[in-house]
Amino acid sequence: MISLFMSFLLMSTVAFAQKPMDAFEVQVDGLGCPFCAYGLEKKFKEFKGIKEVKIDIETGDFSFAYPAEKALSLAAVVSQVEKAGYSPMKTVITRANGLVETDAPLEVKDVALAAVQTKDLFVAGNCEMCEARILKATSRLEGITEAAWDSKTKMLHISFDSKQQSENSISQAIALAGHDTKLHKAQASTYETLPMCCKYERLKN
Amino acid sequence: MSYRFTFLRQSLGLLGLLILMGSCAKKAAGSQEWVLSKTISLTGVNPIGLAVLGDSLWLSDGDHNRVVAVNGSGQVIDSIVSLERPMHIAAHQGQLWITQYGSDTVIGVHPPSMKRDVLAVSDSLDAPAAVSFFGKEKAIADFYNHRILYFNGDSWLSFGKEGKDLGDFYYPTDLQITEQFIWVADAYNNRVQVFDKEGQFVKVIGVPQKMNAATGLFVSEDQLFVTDFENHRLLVFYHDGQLAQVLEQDLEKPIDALIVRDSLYVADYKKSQLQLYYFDR
Repeated sequence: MISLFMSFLLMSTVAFAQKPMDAFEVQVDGLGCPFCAYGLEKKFKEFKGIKEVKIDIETGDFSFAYPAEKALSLAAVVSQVEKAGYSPMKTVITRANGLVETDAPLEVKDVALAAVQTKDLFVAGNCEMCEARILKATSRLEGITEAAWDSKTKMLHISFDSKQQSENSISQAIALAGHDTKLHKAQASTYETLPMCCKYERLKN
Repeated sequence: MSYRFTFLRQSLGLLGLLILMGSCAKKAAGSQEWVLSKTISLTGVNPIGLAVLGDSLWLSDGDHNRVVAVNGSGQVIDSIVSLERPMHIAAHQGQLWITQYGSDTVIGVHPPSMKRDVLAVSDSLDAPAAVSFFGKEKAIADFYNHRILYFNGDSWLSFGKEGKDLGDFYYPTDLQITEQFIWVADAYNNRVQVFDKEGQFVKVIGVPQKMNAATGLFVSEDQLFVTDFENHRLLVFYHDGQLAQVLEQDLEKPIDALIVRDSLYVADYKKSQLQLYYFDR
């Protein structure tokens, strides 16, 4: 009788303690450095009420649960990850009520081959996180068909529709993301927000 | 001579591994230098810190929240689990000391019993990345606070602040106390800084080499070993800062180094492996 009562009490307590939680899954690119990756995890743990924070360094899968009553938005999560200096590639929220929210996939447009140009541009940076940020900056532009950045040579190999983009516009977008190019330098304030491993040597004028 | 180094030299437990290593060694002609002799694959382990306790080589595996002991084949033979992002580790007085980046603590574990003690410090830590002991002295690299906490046997001293100037730090990740100095891997200032035991700056090492994330170091009797993480190489310096050698063959994101009975061990985070070198005299 006593044990039955105790079981009931325990079950009631657990049921009471369980708040509805939204589940967040973020695909983060460029987690090559454990100090940075664990830093992202650590910073999110500072969010009051956050639970089940998990990060898989190898896959870049970052997930956590957050009280549904706080209605944390997708934009706020993306912004927080970006503020921490990381590049969220895809975010999925499964709300406690079953609704799913996700980033809209990037639209892939057909580009006439005749208009495609290929360039090699110097872009300052250090590491895999830099690579993710640089490629994300280019992927947001219309008319980019291919992009690859080499951390050793610092060269960005990029193909684009010359009717929509130019070396200048691409360089500008990359500088806005925090990376110096020969044509455009990043704002000091943007550079300062980069994570520690991404603080490359600034290009001289 | 550092306690860590003395302890390691006295350790006999790795003899079998070293004999195996010697049999694999290829004799290189020419000057005195470190020569790669063996690579040990660590399946399922992404090593960060290295330490030897008794007969065993221990590695922190931060990605999997554990510290493991491995044998000469790289197989896990013992483990300490349920940790919170363990980083660099140290062996001292029969205990394995583990910095927990995720819980802001440093704990001592005695592997046979797995009893855990928390290291009492003078102030709160924010992501401790390394700990070192030398007799009664101890020091902690306090990563997000950009400082070193040092206990001289009587009292704690804090030195360093965030910055680029000499004496400042930008995310210190590893350190070692020796007879005279405290050596600090000032990771994202891409250098090693050396301090006296009053916390006063003495010298800087590694600036001309343009390191990209100096994540780990080891100080031997006459050399300093620094892992240049993003440049995928290990730099060997003399104590005066002169570059002695660059090791980069098959390295990808080396993160810590350690000498055990005259053999140099380098932990490779990305490749999940250990590289062993012998000194060709």
